[in-house]
Amino acid sequence: MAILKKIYPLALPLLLTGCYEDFTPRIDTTPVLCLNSLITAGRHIEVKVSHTWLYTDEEGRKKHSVPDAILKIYANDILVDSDYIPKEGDRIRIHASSLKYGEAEAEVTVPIAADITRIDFSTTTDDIWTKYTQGWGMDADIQFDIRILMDIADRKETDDFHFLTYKTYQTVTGIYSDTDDDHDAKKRQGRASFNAYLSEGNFDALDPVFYELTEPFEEIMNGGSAYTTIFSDRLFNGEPKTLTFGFSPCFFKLSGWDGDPEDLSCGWLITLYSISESYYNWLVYADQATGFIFGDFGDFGMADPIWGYSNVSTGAGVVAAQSSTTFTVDLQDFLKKTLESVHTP
Amino acid sequence: MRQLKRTAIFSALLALSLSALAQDITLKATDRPAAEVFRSIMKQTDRNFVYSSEILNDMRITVNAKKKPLKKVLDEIFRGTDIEYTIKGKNVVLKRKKEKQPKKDKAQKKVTAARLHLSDSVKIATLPTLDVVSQPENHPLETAKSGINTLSGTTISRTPAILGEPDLIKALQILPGVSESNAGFSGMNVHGGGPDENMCMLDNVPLYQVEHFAGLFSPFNTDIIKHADFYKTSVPARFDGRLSSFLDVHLKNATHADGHHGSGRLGLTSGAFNISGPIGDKTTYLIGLRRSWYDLIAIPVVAIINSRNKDEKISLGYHFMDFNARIDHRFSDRLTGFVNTYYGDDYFHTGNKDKHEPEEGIYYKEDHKFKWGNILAQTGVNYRFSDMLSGEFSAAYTGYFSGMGYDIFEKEIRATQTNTSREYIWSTNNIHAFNARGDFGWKPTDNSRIRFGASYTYHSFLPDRTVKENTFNDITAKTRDVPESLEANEVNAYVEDDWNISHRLHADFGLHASLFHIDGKTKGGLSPRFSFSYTPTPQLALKGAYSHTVQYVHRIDQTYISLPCDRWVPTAGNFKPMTADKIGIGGYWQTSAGDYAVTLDAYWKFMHNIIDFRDEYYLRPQTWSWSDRLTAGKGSAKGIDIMLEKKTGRFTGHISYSLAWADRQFADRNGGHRYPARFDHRHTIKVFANWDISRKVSINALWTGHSGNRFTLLPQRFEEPNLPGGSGFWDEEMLLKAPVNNYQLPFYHRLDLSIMVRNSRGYWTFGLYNAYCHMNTVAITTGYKDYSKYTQVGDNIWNIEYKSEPVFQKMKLIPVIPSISYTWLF
Repeated sequence: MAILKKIYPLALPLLLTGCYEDFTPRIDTTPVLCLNSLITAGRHIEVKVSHTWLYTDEEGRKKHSVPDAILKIYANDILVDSDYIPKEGDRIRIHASSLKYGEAEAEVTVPIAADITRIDFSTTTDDIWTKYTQGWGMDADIQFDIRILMDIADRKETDDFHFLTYKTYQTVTGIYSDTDDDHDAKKRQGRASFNAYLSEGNFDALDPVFYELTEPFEEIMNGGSAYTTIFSDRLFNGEPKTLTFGFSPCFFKLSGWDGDPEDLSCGWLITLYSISESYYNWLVYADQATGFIFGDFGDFGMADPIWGYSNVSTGAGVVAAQSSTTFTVDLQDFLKKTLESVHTP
Repeated sequence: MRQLKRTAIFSALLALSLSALAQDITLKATDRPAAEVFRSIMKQTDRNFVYSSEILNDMRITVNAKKKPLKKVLDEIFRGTDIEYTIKGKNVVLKRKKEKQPKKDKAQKKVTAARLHLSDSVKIATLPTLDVVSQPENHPLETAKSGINTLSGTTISRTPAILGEPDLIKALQILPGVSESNAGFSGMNVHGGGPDENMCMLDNVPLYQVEHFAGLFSPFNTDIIKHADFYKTSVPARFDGRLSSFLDVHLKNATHADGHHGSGRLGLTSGAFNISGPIGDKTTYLIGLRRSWYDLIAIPVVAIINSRNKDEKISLGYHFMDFNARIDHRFSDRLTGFVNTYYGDDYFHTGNKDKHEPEEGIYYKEDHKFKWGNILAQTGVNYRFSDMLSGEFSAAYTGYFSGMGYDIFEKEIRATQTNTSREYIWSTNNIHAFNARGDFGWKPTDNSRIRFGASYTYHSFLPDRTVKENTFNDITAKTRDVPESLEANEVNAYVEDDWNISHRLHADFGLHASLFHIDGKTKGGLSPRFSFSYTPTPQLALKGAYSHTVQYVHRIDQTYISLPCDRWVPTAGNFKPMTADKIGIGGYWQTSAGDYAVTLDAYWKFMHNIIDFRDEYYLRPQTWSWSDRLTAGKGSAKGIDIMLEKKTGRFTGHISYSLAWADRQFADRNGGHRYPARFDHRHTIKVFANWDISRKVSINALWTGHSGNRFTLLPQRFEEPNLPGGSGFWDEEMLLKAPVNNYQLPFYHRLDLSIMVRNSRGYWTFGLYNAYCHMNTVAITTGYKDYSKYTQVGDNIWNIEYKSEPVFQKMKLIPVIPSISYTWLF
């Protein structure tokens, strides 16, 4: 929110002279059932049943489970038991009832995983530094950019929604970027001098689909390109799509390398989730709710308040579904060739 | 020979003059307003009356003349008054008789001059345009129409306003049936209609962007306004294109007799300079400029910040401005022409950059800009075909523009190489409209005035276009949204008759037809209008009106204040034109002396095909299609406005009360259920008082109180689903949906005061907005109330317990705001 820092001072006199007064509004509030579930193809279904609470009800905030809830799950309109493993294309309906909070129901179709027909990538080396010490091995810093092309065969008969996630991995150290592992402390067993580290860099949203949710006003107020990795097939429905993205600047740091190519096995684990519309909508909502119009203006009563997205009949909770395809971008060959081009131990 | 010619010309002129003076008049009036009597004389003599409304001071006339010369009639009218008249050519000029007094010193003369210019409702008739002789004052007893107000520049400048900035829209907001969209802002809701359902016109040409500084001020430079006609119940057939109201602002005319005059105003937020006068014998000009000061105030603040920061330099500025220019030219007694232009914009920019480019490292620079406003150009001629038929032919361009974007530049300097990158985005939204029209006025009889005309407008709409450029060294990637640019052709025609059926019964009826061709489809509308007035006694008028209006263009706003992201879009795709049917009945009564008056207006309004955002519209990408985010529905409004006025004397003003209902219903909003409109103010009370303490000092006060705005309060929470990719935003809880506008904010009230003190060169205006500093609730929000509990557990040993409880909070804004301005008259 770079620009906001400059706009807020303009509104400062107004804000400083404003005030708040605590009060209890007289408004009817009847708690209702809330259903939350993320259904994943190939895994058991878990549903969290709770009830809504008044904002000022601290007890409700702490304890909102519904012990007497009766839950029924239907797969393609057939009642199934808790052992049921959903599969892609299943239409799952969840029904809950409680004597105190009434009934709630939601339905979702488990998406079919995206058909990825080709993955390709290219790298550009920006900078390289190496040093070889006898008895120690090689130290190296490589700065590079990577561009990834992913071909998706989209189905025309359905509206498809996707969510792209990524993390780096290193086979040798067993480090994944989404964990809290201490990169420097974890060394290859028996080789205390060796260390390797891949920095993933910034995500380069090179494809228009990453900007389909971008509101120009929000983007300008943010002071930078506001992309998301949530996207739909609106821009390529039924057509083959080559998704383009990348990372830059990426760094691979190496110390005490003895020349074993296996040590260079690292790269990105990229997962393309095919998500239900409810999941997509919830992610869009999450993006919008923290934006300038609904977040900042809404807080000052200058825009309509935004309520939480829900696909449950009571308006509380989200029943979502997903399936996924994961693939690997392995940099071993690229790193090996790059290092060999500079120095062969 | 030359002498003979001069004598002949002189003789001819004298004969003409004498024949005019000798023109017989038949006139019978009993305690009628002076303006009405003058119009009757105008009809019979084709003369204009030139006077200051200050001179008449609500003068009423009783006269009985049968085939008497003009001079005798005028003598009879002004006998015993302090008014004297002179006949100059086609004009009857009225002046207050000079008091016999000792020699005036220079200062006294200046006081008189200043006073004359303060009264900007001087009816100028130097250029014999169509409207001068028949410009209605819209006196409720004299017109069939109801719900009409004519505001003079003086009235506008006397209305207290926030930051002391005289504002036309805020002057209208003191009328019953008109409410402000947001406290202190200039958006207005008229009889339950939305803010974009009001057409604001400058000399009959529409303006789209009618709000400066996020809506705090309107774009009309009040120093150059002659008068503004506002129609909220009866709508003349010549107007269409909006559902709720029509505001036609007319600029002052310069006079030949007065020479060059103007004013300069300096206030806390803006300044204005205006000048008008003659160019030769046949041409007059008017120039007005208003500009805000905020950017100038920001200069020292920014300079101080920059002097304290060694590394970074910031820039920050905002201004709004309005520029008006008008030229009138008299080609002949029958033909006059004019050129009229307006430009107004808001411009906000901010940026920062590194002060020094490092030898190695990163140099950074960014700029953000927002600019939006209107541009208008109009030219036309008035031609008097005969005493009964006249016409105006004009061509105009009116445009709305809005742009916003940023430009970020970064240079990475390394020992071996230097990389530069630039990120640029510019988003625009604009409208271009070219209009040609012909309007005619025809008086087949003294009791009937027929207006008819036709117009053609070419519209070009660009609701949204965004250009992005990303440059890295020499490589530039440029993306440009495929803009949904829409072109439309609009044709309008109308006819209306203002008919005095009898002495007691007046009617005004008409028909407006329109065609709007867009996207391969033609949409049309027939808008009948009807108003009548029955006056059983000279002091009482009973009125009724029906109007049907059609609107093809609407504004979609995501916020309640005016921003450059507001978008004007046409009725396209599957959406039908918005329409409204309004029925009004009412009455007007005044005392025989005309000192006091009571107005009553009741109305029912039914709106169809109105457009708003659908529930959860933000789930649909804006770049995909803006029309997918909208839903069509209907609305209704009903209410009654009662106003008691004191119209004469040193203490004038009015008290009004409105009882109103307004609701909306859309297929895809609030689950299809009907809900109250945000501005559904059940009760509204307004008290406006103007007290002329002396010739030098006057006090104005406005007290406003109304039921609070409706607000969508979301009181319940539920557990968030904790899905990957979006968790952690709301402390693991989300807001449960609730009916739209389910909660009414507390009663809103405030008092605004202004004092005008005149001196020999101009006048000071001192203002207090929200004088008793009542902080009104603008929204309901949530927060935490913190407690600390102290418990003594031993000698000098205390246990402190901190506790934080969630609470609902009323958010209250805008305290008392003082203001001061000085207006210099010359």
